Amino acid sequence: MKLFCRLWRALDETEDPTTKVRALVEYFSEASDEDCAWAVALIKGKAVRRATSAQTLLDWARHASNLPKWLVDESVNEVGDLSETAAMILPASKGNLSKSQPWHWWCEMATNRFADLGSEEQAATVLKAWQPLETPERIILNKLLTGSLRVSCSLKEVEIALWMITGIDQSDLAHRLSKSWSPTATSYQELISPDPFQGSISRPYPLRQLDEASTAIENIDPEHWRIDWLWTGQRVQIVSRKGVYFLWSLTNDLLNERFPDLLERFRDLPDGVVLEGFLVSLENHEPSGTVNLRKRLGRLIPSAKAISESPVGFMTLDVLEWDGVDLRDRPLCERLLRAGELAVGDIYRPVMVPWTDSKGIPNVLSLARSIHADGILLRRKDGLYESLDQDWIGLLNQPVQIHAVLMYVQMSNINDPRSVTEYTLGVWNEGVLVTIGKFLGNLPSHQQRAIAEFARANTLERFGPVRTVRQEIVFRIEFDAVEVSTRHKAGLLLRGGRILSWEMDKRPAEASKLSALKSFIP
Amino acid sequence: MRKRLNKSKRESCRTNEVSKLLTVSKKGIYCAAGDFYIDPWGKVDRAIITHAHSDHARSGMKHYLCSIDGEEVLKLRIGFKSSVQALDYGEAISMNGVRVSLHPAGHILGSSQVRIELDGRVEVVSGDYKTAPDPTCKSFEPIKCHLFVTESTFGLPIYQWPTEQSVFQDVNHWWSRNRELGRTTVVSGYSLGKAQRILAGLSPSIGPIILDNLLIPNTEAYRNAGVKFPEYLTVQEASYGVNWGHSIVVCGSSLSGLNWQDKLVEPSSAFFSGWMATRKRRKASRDKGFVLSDHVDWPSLLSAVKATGAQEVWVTHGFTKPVATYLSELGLDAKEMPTPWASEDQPLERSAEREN
Repeated sequence: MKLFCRLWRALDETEDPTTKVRALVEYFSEASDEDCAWAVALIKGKAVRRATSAQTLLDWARHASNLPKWLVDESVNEVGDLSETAAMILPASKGNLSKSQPWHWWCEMATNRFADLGSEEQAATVLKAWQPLETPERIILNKLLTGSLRVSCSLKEVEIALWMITGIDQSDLAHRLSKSWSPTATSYQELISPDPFQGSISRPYPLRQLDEASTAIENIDPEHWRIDWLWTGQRVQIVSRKGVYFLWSLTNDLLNERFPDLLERFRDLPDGVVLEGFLVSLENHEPSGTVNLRKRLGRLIPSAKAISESPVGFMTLDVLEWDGVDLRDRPLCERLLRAGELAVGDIYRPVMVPWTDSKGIPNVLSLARSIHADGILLRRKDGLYESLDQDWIGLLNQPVQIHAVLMYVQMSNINDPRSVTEYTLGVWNEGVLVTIGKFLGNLPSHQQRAIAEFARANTLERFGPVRTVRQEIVFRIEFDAVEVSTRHKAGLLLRGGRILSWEMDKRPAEASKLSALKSFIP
Repeated sequence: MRKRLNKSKRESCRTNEVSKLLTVSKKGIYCAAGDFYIDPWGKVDRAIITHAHSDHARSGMKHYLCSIDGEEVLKLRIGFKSSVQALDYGEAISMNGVRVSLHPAGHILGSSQVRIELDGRVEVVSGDYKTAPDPTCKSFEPIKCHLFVTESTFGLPIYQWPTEQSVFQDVNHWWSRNRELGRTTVVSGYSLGKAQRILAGLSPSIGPIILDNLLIPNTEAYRNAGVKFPEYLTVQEASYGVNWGHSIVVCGSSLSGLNWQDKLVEPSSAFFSGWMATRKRRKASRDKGFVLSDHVDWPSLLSAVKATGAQEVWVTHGFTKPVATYLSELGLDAKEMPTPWASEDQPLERSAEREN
């Protein structure tokens, strides 16, 4: 329990991924297999339901420590959390910790047996368990029992930590972790035992970097080059081998559980196929921006309603493997020939953009925004997948610039200019400002300080950390695309929005109008 | 003028039976019979100082009285030209017929409880205190009295300190881990008292210990008073031939460290304070937090009050209301004592002032 407590504290105390991974490595190297298995289950986040309420724990703790109720209430105010308060007001620990039950026993207890005990037996069990524990461990136990134990790290960090310990490929670990998990020593041993066969089935290819190229486009022609749309969405790859299917993100996160509907379609793919492409939202079987896709990506397991309301599709860009053969060392035209054999709904063949000569390329690019693409990709027809940089030219849409007025400021600590600051900005609509979204205030630090100063002096209203400020400051902002969104007051969503500068010589009245923004909606 | 004020105070004491000896005036805790103040916040002629923290020891008094152990650190704060009389712990003097003596409070080096006695009545002002052992100062001594003035910085049952030993076990473990990774460890705490206590708890076998320049005068004063520290280097001494990736840097506040910030290797930092006990406050600080306090926690506060045998208790500095109410429920005559810092609605700001 001490080890898990140290891990939880270490993860809770930092936002730095490297530090988190180090803490995980330390834990997985020292803890027992059972405890490790439970740690994975807790990080996956589906393991523990609420065995009892925090208020009940607090009442037991109050009786055990013989304190008046008003004093406990006072303490809750100070701590801000019931189960933490319960752990902290108890008398100091006594008794032998080594005699108490191990961590996995408690996890087991909280998930399975505890809810079935009678309330007196529950109280007796918990009171006995508290006695030998130190406060941090009591806090962990209370959070476990109330189903509120959040371990603040991602599965990705677990993958990296286990890779550092075992040397097993991260994508392989991701696949193993994605399966339903029973927290037992056996499953943990399976997770960390090398198994080359498993690895080869799921393994994705490293995807080529899609940087915006600076190569000149004057000398290219349709005979040797083809153009594809860079669809607005997520760059992913589909792996179909031996009747098992995988949907991998660019960062090798396994997305299978998030998109069961798309996975269903994969069954019609031939065996031994790896496709690269874009995961896009669909509307009438056409790509339609990111709003629906965001809804789906944000949900670990989608509801039937989410699936029917937010359909997704896959726009093929390249074929990396066919018939179990790695095609990356074949020319593009040969690779794409295979894609012609695809005939699967919602998995779309590559669409070649028609064009005549290099002078027409800017015209093609200017169409991209209107069909929900971020830009275009020019590739040499005889280029290999891993070929020279000059064979791939990505051209992205020009960002749009507008002016917006500062309406709300949110900072985690207004006295600390280093703290994360978010600005909510607005534009004019029929004489009033409507908000168009939150922007990270990554301005030069002296300006950030000046704005904090301004916010302090010009606060009209406060909601927790958010301050409504006098509408005086104008920013020049930039964004990549505008989409319709019901979530925001303005009825639209700015994609890739960022603040460029503080326009000190502009008056709020000179800021942009909502109608101007709406004209960019495809 | 003062005589008239004193007279009316005495009358009020009699009628309200507040206390035979002490009253609270605009300038601080006042003993009319002896004509002296304890830790006054306004300018006065004679001030007894419990300890040298800024909210207790202010400059500008005509004459000061403190413990011998605390003399040097007090002078570092108020200036070496001030008129300071120092007493040994337990040594008694008479001030206008009132018997005054100082006794260890266990808060920081030289911290004292002030015991005053007149006609068989004994009253004790604790200043800030802790009862847990601390290698950098003499341990708290319980004193029998009729009236006890207690602090209440951490006067809620949620504040129960882990043992110093377990805290330093964690600290040294964390430092060793950082050393393995070649990262500099940076620890900070209040520059008088806390920093020296941290320093004393570090294990020099792990790596070099580097002390920020701002801490050196206070730390030297501790050494002059006979406190033992592990060997440490000044920033200048550590400039050449010392691997900062293996080192721990002890510093006072964020203002220090201007001359060594660029020497740090991927620093990993921690702050030491009793406030680090709640997760909420740990989250608000950017660094790691260790729970180490020089104030009494809840159980020690209750046992300290009990050990004095006092029937009357004045509660000051901190959670005055909950502590006074709880003590009253236990059957004591407990009251909140107002101080200029006490503002009930802003415990967080107040706490920052109290420990920083």
